[in-house]
Amino acid sequence: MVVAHPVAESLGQTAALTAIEACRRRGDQVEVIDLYGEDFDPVLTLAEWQAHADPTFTRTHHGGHVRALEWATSLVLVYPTWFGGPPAMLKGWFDRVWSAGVAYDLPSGGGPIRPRLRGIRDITVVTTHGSKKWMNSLQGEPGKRLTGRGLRVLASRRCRRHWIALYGVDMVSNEERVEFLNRVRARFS
Amino acid sequence: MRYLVVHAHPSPSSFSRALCDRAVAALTAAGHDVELIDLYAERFEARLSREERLSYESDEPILDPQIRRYADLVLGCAGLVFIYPTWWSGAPAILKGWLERVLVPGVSFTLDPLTHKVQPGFGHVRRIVGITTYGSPRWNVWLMADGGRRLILRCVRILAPRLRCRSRWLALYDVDRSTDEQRQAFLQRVEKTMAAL
Repeated sequence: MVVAHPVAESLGQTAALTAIEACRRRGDQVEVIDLYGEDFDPVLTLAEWQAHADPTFTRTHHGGHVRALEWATSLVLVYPTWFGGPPAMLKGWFDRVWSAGVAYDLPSGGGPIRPRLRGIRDITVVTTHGSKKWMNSLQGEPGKRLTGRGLRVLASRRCRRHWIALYGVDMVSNEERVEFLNRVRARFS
Repeated sequence: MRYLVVHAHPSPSSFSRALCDRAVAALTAAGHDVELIDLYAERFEARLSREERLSYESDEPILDPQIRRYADLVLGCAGLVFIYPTWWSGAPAILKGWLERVLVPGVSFTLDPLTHKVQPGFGHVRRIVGITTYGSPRWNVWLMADGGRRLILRCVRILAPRLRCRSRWLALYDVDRSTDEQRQAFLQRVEKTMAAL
């Protein structure tokens, strides 16, 4: 589970705790990467860019995250949607950690990349949106497409993406917040 | 017109940087005022902080003098140009974070205090341009739904007037396997387009 929310007492963090609790109750093992908590720097460096074809570089510099990604059979992403997608904090985690030799292999002769995360059988996104659903549709939901397409094709061929979203989070009633947390709990029960 | 160009690539000798130089030169030659923000060179902090999130809906969402300077540049410009390499279907985190931290309430939109409805605030923006390179061929970018194009031409574009603002998207696909001629042709296309904005 990868969490990217700057405010510890936010609804997003509560949703993450709800998911962890539900997973543990049914006997799942959960490894949590709290990007703000770890003070992760999401900006891909010049050295990383220069080493983008070197499959060992990321393993050396982000070993813990790489091991967690290869160990997991389910990936859960918890974040607030900003400008249509995951915060820079999470976008940069993909930029830096999902590199060649980790998320995919670069064939030596060129051609399409080869997926490396076939062990991931499903991806669940738990997200809150400031704006209403119609506004997000107008914006084209780039975050929803990133997880449902770009990332999913690197996972198991049968990988499904589950989408648990609360739209218009600043305007919703307390009941709707509770209902959102119930949907999160139900997903992992 | 005043153009604000925002560039995001870690290498000063990259093709992306060459695109940026060409775009700035073409805009300047066409008589525009150009201000360039090179995010990596300025060591921009991409992470929206806890304090910024908690102040987001207050009267003072900007806490950092560097962000204030960027916000003033945005408020004073009539054209916005974003130049970056596409990674994971979108803008590098450093650019995504720039949008999150700079385009806050009072800069690109206002939030109605009661309904929390977004009121677009980019009335002064007449041109929005995205210039990018993709590692994937065009069909694959299309299949993966092109999140970066959606980010610039929809999520940012939606803040500007529907009729009075024009947007352009300039892309070079399959860049790792592109020939020198293709890259030169793309540089020329960028130059021509920017000169005629």
